[in-house]
Amino acid sequence: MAMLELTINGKVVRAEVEPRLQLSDFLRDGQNLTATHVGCEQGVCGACTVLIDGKPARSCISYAVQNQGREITTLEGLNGDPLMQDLQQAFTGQHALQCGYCTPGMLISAHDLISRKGALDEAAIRHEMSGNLCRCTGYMGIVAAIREVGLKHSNGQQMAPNISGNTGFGLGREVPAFDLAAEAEVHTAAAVSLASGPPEPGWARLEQAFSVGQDMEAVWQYFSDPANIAGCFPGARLTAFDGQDIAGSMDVKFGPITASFSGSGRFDLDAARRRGVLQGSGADKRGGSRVKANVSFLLVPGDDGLRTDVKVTVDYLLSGPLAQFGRAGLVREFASRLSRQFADNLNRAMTGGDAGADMDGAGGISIISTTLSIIWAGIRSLFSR
Amino acid sequence: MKPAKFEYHAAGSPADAVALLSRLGEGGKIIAGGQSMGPMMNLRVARPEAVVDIAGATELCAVTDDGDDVLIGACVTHGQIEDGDVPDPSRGMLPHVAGGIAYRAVRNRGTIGGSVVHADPAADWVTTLIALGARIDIVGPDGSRSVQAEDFMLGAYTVSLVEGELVTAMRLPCLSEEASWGYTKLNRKVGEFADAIGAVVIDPARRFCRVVLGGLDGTPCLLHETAQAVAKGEREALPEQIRAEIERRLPEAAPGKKQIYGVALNRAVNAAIG
Repeated sequence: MAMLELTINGKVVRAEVEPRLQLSDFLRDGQNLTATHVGCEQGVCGACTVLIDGKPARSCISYAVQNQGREITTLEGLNGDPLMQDLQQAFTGQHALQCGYCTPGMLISAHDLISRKGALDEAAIRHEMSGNLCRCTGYMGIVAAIREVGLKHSNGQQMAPNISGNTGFGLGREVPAFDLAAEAEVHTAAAVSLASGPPEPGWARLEQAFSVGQDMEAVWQYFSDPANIAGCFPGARLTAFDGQDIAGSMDVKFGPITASFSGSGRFDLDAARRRGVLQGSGADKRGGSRVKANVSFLLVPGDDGLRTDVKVTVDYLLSGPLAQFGRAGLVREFASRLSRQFADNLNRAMTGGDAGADMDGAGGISIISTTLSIIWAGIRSLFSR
Repeated sequence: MKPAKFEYHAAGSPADAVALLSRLGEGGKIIAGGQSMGPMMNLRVARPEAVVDIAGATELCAVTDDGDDVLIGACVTHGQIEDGDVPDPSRGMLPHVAGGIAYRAVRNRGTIGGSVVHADPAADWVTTLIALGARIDIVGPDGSRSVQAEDFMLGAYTVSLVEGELVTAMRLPCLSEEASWGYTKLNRKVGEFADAIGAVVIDPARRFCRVVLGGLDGTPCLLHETAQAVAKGEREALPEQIRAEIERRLPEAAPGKKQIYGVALNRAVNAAIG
């Protein structure tokens, strides 16, 4: 618990709060200020918008403790404010609400918009109000109400529209031609691909290929022991292996997302085809996500006999919280970065060095985890930068 | 309550934050505006054991000029940049970019440093700072260092910070009076993350020209050949040059994606040379 002192609608409030209490819940449940509505709780819908030090902010993604010493204004605090009164009347007159859920956030945002920018045209109002979602009236009435009040509060003077479509600052004349100062070319890795049969329905697939600077036999020997493979995967640990049954764990770190999966499975080798398959499943106890995965690898001799190409296919099925999000491109990008690191670790380990299972110096990660970690991302809208 | 339990620490200075991070180890996570961390923690996809709040560290909220570069503190908000509340070394590019980030209520809290460290490939600042040739100033247990923006981001949500380090400022060279820029973000709804970003900065006085493609799956892509062609004024050749360089650098991208990338870059280049 933390002590908090802040000003709400002009009144000093002291309270003891848990750090994870959001300002929105503090206002509603702790202060009985229920004009602040809670909609998406991920900073997308705008229903919870309040003024923090006079500026609109999402109270559902601002911890109460972060507002120590600040001044909070909720819709209740704007009661009697002339601009707010006009907005409320115009919202009624223009039928700008039906269920009313989004209305407090709309009013706070509109109040801020008119205070800062006065009268705007319809396109500009729609642009500026895009962070407040309404799901029942459509936006015609809302935009009309804001336009009406904006014009009234700027004596009918409409400002130039603030959406100019301008996306740059040219000189309005020919740019003088010049040669670039020398700069190092940025290296980009060649893309790899590996084709095989389709994954099971509902499962996702990652394919990676890389080359190791050792002959086929040496690589096969090395791959035959799953402890070696685990040692080169950042974040992976092998806890048990009896020749076929396998158990282990994997720590995933992807930006602020961390998960620790433990699980078990089978490890089968096909020496004739220089192929191996690991089938397993695991769970992240803390986050409650689960994964099933089939990881297969195939070794192919390189042209010169001095190198071996390793092709890896990961089919996986994820369930639980991490499964709700998906930004497939990021998964692929992360996986290819990971496989480069794995290949580096492998090369280093096979030439007698320390695998140093680490990725980008960023701590634990792993190839299956790739799958898991990245998945959260339908979140496009949430990650409000 | 939505987020998982965490300890809260307020850091009054970068040194405080470094000390706290060192003490907390892997469980500690910096929060500033909380506009990326907040949703992730509400959804419990991120569950830090402790957060270190740097929003109250005043020296991280300042913009200073050291004679060569303008330093934008990590905790300066998008809204402050949008409103021109802080000095602008970019001849309007930074305010333009800031105004297109998410929504006003988010811009009032979200910080430039937080966005850069979060390193979402579709976010605006990473691409913009690379285009401007910015450096990222970092402080940690072993002192301070500075890295080029294009070397700072290693991949989606991954940057070159090591444990105990935090970003203190974005170090931007001042554009000369000859400089021009273009910035095109394509997305399906205002405030959404980008499907593609084209960012172009031309500064003949410094023999500097960069063309950057952002909104990819990983780090933004610096298009050197296109930049060379832009600098040389090879206007007619540019659309084909852009198409060819996208093809060469991103051969695996879907045809529709390549089309969007090309449109963003052409518009940005045209805005800069127009």
